[in-house]
Amino acid sequence: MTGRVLSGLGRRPALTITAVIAIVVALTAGNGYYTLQLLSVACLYGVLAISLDLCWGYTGILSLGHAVFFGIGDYGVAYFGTRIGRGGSITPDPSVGSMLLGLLAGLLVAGAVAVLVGLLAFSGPSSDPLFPSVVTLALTVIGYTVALGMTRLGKDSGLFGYQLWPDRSVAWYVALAALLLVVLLGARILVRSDFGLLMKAIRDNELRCRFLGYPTSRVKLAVFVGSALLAAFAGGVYGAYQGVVSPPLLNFLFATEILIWVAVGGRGSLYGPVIGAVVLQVLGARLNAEFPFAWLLVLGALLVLVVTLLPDGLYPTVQSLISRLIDRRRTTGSSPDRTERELVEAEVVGAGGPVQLPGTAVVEIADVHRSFGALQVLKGVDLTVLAGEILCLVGPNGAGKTTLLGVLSDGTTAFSGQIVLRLPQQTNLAGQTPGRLTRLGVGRKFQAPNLFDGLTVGETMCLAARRGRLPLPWRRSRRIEIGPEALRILEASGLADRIDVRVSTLTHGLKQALELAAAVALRPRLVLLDEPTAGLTVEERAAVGALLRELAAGGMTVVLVEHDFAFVRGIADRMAVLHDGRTKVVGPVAEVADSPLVREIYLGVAR
Amino acid sequence: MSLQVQNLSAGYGSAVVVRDVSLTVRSGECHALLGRNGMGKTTLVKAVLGLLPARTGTVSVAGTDVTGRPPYRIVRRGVGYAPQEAALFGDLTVAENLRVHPGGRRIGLTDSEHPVHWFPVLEQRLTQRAGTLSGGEQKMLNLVRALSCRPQVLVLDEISEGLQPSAVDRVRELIELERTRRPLTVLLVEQNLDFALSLAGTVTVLSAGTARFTAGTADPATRTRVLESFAL
Amino acid sequence: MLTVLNVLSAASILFVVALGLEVVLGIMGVINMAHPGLMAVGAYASLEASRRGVGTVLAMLLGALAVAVAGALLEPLLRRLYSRPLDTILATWGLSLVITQLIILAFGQAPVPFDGPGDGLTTIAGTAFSSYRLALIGVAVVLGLALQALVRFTRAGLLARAVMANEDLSRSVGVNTSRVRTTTFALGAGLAGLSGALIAPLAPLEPYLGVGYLIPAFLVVLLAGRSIGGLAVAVVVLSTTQTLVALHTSSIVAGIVLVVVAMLLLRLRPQGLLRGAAA
Repeated sequence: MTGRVLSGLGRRPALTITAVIAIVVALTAGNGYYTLQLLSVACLYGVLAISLDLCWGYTGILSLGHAVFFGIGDYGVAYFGTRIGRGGSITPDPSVGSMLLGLLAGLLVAGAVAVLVGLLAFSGPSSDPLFPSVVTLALTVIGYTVALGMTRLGKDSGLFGYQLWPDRSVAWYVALAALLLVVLLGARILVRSDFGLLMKAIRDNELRCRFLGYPTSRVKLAVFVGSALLAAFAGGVYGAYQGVVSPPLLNFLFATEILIWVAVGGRGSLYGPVIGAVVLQVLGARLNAEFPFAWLLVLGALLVLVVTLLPDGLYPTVQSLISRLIDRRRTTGSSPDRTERELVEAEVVGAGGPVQLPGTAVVEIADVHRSFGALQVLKGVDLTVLAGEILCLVGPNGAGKTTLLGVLSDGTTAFSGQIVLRLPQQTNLAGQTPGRLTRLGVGRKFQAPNLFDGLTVGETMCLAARRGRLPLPWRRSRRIEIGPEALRILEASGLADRIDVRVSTLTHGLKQALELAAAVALRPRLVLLDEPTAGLTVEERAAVGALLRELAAGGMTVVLVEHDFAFVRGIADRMAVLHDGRTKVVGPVAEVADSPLVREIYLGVAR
Repeated sequence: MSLQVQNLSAGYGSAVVVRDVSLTVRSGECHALLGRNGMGKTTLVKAVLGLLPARTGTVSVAGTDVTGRPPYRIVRRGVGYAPQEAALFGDLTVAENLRVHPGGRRIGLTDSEHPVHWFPVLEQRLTQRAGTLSGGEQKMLNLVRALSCRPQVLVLDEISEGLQPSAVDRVRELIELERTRRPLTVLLVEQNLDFALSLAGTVTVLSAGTARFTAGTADPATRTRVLESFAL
Repeated sequence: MLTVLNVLSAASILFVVALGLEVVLGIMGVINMAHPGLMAVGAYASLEASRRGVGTVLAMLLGALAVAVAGALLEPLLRRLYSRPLDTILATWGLSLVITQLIILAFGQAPVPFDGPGDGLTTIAGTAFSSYRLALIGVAVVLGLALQALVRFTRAGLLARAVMANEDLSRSVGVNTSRVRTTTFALGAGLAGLSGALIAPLAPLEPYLGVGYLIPAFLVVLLAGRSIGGLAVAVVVLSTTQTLVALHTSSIVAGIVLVVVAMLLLRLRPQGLLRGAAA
């Protein structure tokens, strides 16, 4: 446990701890009450910034109204920390007990609101990014109006005077700084864990995550609610410290400030938002007093400039500049702070159960139709896929090849006809989600490389190898257990030497190889490959061909869509020709490739 | 107007699909680009028209280097383009589809020379939403639209795909008619060998993104060479 | 009768406000969170013009024009954001903040009344109602019809619809799609400015006057799909809901109900109210 905590601190934990303590102490020396108060509040704003960074920077949920949760926490503490007397007057009455009660109430309300908002925003087939943004913004308007209208909450003057221990400013400061550090540490452990990988993967490519089998809507809901609870917690502590709350705390202006801290500081970096919050808060207090409206103007301009020109934010940009100057031996594309992960072959990973006998049917497709609106693409496809074979789907554009693969990898698409899988248990394809199909033993490689730009090779394989099981928020697996085939692919392509390289910097051929490895990482029974040689050089094609033959030899059934006939002749057992939404010819490759029907379909040549 | 492509490479994202392709179509000639789907023909055409950035190489129209220019500038020099996919404005009517071309050289619908008269089925559907046309009718609209601006260069990507043989004949006749009316340079991208050979004077075969060979269609050996290169 | 007039008045105001958003989101697919700021500019610009003796109507048009020009200048700068929708939301939101702060620096934060056209009552079917609000209902109808005509019958409208239907093909056909985008954005901005100017006489001007409309306007635009007719239906449905709920409970509850109802409708019909059910 201690090891994990220490590793969360980075490479040199002793040095980091000493430096942090030194900074915290140094700031107390010689600073008056005002500055200490500023710094204390800044610590709480740092916690708030972390909550938004986890939600937006790491998971891609743009919450335009995160201030609402902070405000709910503060109002909760305020409600229990004040007493309403006869005639409606409100007097402060703080005590530890009432503070805790208020904190709990705030957390409950914030959690409930977040759950409702999350269910509205994240459920449904396609998560439109505009949805959560608009809903959370609406929250600020609603929250502001509610707070403004309720007498028990002090209406427009709000509530004040309920702070706890107002005369112990140094003690408060140390406590709040410690709180910030604890939260920062916890957040760091989270983002560097396997769960953190999942968060980033959802941010980069949610659809692909779903095809890897992960319940992304649930994960987003969990992250959103967790982030809201953290924000509410910060708000509650803020209430206990400052003893003041009023409706503008819930308003969009404050919510926008939080966004600016995170955007300018550096989204997805944790340290950036904290530094952003602290620095902008301290600067803002000085400037806001002298030029009140100019400060907001500067902030707004900063937001526009950073988002347009430097989307990563200041901290990561500065960090990469420094690391480039200092450490010239660092390989390009490798990300900082990555401890080595190992790829390990595992025999146990696999769909389990007896392997099918070669020659038995693995997929039976009968009279399948699929339309997109008025356009009928599949008009009656009949096909049987046999165990252990390499079957190649060919046909002119628009024949329906990719559509057929699409149906096979997602049983929830609308189609008529029957598709039965035997892997080896008999299952009807209709209604099976991509996640369930992955667990049943179906792997898919998409037409164009469709991966997670922000992750490394190792991290991608880590996610692919989990079969959609949710990772724990603190475990960071060092050993990635994948099937021998995937390991072969990674070694043959050279990816095994590039485990810590960012996917976005890989060449096209390597991305295709990684896609292939991810598709077979779980030792699927059936692999669906859409144009595995697209964009590859001749040598790369030969390598892929050899890999596919090995896969089939090991018992995997391979169905691929291909245009390169030379490639197909070299590796496929059977060929199925699709034309105009129907299967025209199926049979051994040599026979079909030379048949006059195929010539006619492809060349319009009659013989 | 001639069309010249030199050492052109292009692709999508990280993939290089077309590698180092050169070809020349002299003014008034018809040149066919052959190859199976997935071999890079459409990518090449898009790079020529500026719809995809050219990673290396140059494109010249009528002797002027147009590499890197925005597509609308290249096309306004007198290029009529019938793409293979997403080839019409589905939400607009047939008549509106034919009016989108910038003015100037556009033939009015009432003009007797407008190519729409060649396909009575389209003439009857002028006010119908283009998205509701059948696949074959959409192809015909595609061709008519490309011809409706009196182009000097005509680029057709798989215009015969999905058409009945009779419709293919009609298309061929229309192209030949247009070639008699003015010097029309044609770049034909095709999988349909017979159709291509019937119209083109020269063919280039594209395979795995590179140009395998170029030959004249007058030579009877060309057809055999093409069939062999398809390696079916 | 009063309820009916209230609903129509609220619907027409929301319609006018949402038109600019519809143009930008519906045609260009761009989420423009700077809308409230642009509305405020239109309102304050027309206030300034009328203070200098320009007639009210002309002042409003000048205000709208100023915003349209600003929009045309801004659009090329925003272009690099189109591939990142979340960042477009953020950047335009930041822009709104910048604009409102500039307004505050110029005019101060205190509410400023726009005197003149807002007073005056007319009696319809025995009910007295603000003449200006009645006029606004008419203006909304005229604007909606004019925009429909622009889109359906003019060449500019044809080009915009072509770009909306198939941008790549438009480029291949010789349409300067960048110019179409800039013009469309400028039109959307101008409409935002006009709506700000039109609602200015209804209440004292304050810099954040647009923010309250932003959320209902967005919801209504999402519900409208890509049609102006859909927008009309959506504003009537939502305004009726809001007015009726507010009558029986309070405006706070009405606000919440509005958002929830809109979100539920969107779940059921993601393509817009007129287009159809979820695919």
